[in-house]
Amino acid sequence: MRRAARAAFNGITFATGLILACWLIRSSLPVPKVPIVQAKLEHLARRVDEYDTLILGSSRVFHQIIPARLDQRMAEHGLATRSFNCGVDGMRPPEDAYVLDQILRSQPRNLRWVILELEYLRMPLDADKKGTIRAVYWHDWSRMVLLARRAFGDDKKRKLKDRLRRLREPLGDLAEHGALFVQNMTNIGRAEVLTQFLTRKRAPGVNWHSLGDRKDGFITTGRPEMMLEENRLLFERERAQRLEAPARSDAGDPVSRHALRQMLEKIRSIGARPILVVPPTTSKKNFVPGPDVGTDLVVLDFSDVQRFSVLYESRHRLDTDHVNMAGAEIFTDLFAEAFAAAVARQSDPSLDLPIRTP
Amino acid sequence: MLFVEFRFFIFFLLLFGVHWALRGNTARKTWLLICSHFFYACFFWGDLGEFFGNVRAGAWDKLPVGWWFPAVLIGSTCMDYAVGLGIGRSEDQTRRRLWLIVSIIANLGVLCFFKYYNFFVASAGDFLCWFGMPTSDWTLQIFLPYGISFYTFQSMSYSIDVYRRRLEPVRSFLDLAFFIAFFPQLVAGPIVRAMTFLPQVFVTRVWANVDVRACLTLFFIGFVKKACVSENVAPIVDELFANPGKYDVYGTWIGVLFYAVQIYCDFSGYTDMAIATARLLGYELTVNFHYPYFAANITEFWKRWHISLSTWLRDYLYISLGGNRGSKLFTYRNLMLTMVLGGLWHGASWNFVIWGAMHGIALIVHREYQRLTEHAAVWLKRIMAWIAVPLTFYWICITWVFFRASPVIDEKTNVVEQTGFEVARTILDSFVFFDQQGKRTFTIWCLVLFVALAFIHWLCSRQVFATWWRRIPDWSYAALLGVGVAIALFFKPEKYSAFIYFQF
Repeated sequence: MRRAARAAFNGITFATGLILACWLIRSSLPVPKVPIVQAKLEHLARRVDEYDTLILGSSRVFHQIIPARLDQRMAEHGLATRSFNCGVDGMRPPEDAYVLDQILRSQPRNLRWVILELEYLRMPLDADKKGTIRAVYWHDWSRMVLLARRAFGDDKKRKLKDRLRRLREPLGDLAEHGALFVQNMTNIGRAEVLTQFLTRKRAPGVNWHSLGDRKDGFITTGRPEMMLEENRLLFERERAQRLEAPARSDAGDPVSRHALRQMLEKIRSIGARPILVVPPTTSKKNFVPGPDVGTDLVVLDFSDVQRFSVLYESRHRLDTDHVNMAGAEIFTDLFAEAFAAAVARQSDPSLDLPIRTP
Repeated sequence: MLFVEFRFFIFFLLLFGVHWALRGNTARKTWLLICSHFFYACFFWGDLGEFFGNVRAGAWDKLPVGWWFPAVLIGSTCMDYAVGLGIGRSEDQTRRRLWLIVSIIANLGVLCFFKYYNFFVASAGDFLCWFGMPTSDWTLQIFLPYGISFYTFQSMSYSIDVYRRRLEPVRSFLDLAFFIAFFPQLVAGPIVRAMTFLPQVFVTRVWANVDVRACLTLFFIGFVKKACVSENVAPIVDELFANPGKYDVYGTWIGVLFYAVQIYCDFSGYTDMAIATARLLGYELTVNFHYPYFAANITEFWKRWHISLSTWLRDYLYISLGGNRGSKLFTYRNLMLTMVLGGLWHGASWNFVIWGAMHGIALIVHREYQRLTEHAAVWLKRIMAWIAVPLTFYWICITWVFFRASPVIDEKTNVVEQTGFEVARTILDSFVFFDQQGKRTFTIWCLVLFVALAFIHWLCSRQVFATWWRRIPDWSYAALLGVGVAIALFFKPEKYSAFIYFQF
């Protein structure tokens, strides 16, 4: 018994030494060099006070909301804004929360609006991100807690046995995230700069081009403006389905709601106001949080195929989830209109606009 | 599954816990045997769900390459088990010899087929082409089972030792299967002799005899050697060998010196981790390295480098060939044969043959030098003693160039731009004759790093760090190890290559 206690004590001491040293090393290192994300974060770290509107989300806002155009349209609606698109391809919860945390570390003073794409907290990792630093860098403690809660299910009323049964499916995903968390926290691979220095290879610098021509964070997808035939077939089918049965609003799972609530609290804590957006997609259901997330929420929903038919015309689409450049311009205009209306709504609640306030 | 991978630690923790929780020796051995085969299977079965899905569906063609590797391992074990029993039951010397011949032919046959068939066929074809006799392509698409060179030598050592009456044949198949498949030494050695390992197998291991602190320290040292040193200097070496002739003399020197560092840290790092892992389970493996780069001559080098292989070759090949029990010429022939075959053991390539031959020549030269300077003046011996270590190291580095040289292939056209031999020659022009080839170079910090590594290695060889960590209290050792692991993980690259000796 004494030997076991001694072994346990030594184990704890080992873990303490390891964790403390990892934390010390980690806190002295800059944010890992993640393509696009790094450029945007570094740009914001220097010039965050120049912007009052921040757009955060995946490619569905990254390539679809044009900050320069948005500012112009907002000015026409009588509201001066200076916006920056901080969207990144495939950036979904909880990665967006990590990026938001990094931005807020710069203590922005002039930020008034944060436009957030609404998306569920997803467990599986995108296949194209596996094995890249992009999959690693956001795995910190608070993100892992969210993922673990998502995996174990947040329904406290369920019996442990049921919760464990439900765990079987996301267990693999959680293990994968766990490994990435360990990799991130233990700083594995962060000394690569040493090898680059010794071999006289220049370390890849910040790709400022990813900020776009106007340095407002917007770039086009780089894909052909025409829809590919295979995308067209799928899009037409899904559009027809949505015309028959419109996309339904889903309050989401408790963990997705909790993750969103956390983000909203952080945004509000710096005096900014969150604007939530559902981009024009043909999904069956969209995450639209309920009143438990907040009663003063503004959700701009563009998933109505009939109402925003112009966004769902084939000539404006790339696929089921994305519009092309012409579509992006239209979407930005519509978004600006709704955004301005959302601000004005406080004075005139009868305005008929795609705004949902739970 | 590599020793430096996160999943290995999970695997080992489970294995370790169950091993010591089990009471009986047979249960422990069975458990370790199962785990060893699982460890071996991890190298080739890829996605488990997909693998077993294909097995259930009978889609054998969709299974990953090497799914049948365990069959070779088990087949080899079964054969040597039968041979051992056969030799043990026969009193007649001729019958015993026949059984041994069966074992040697079967083991070497398997090894030759998998490892050398294509090499011999291609070399014979080239040779005939040289005489103007075109040949058909008789090469086969053969995949070399992991660790075959190591476990074949181990199982052969068992048969030979039983034949030589140094060892009683094992009655339990489990014991022999466990000896051959024991996972720490299965894929890259050290080549453990049956005489060393089997007596341990018969006795129940006792936890109280395990020096946990020493094991953890040894594993940590091995981890640092592989993950922090070998993996970080590898890009420098790869750069040089991928672009021979484009580096200046300093760049070439750095590349070659760092290859010496890389291969030592890679292989001895693996061995350290293997020995530590085995010790944590209560088993002792053969020591494989003893600061080889501080050897004062080539004979001493081979007593310090890959000791398990060099002693195996000495006991089972060199002595069997007659050793030094004949004329000088006869001894030198045996030496050359042993070293050339030792070189060939590393891989089916002329590079390794040349590498082995160079070591054979060096051994002969050293013997002659010893004979000639037996009565030399003391001052001469003193001078030689001073330059012996750097001179031996320099020669070893030259031989490493042949060991490492591989053809340079244009990635776009897939055309061989330079053969391995040409690569070696280009590098040696710079390394030996100081012929300035190109303008590329490495930073001066490479030299600083090399000197620092050499100094640390020298301090280790002087046992400077040998005991202080034993004197500190447990808790401070644990905390220090935690800090050490954190620093090592920082230097560990995100992606790493397999151990160099895995390919052999």
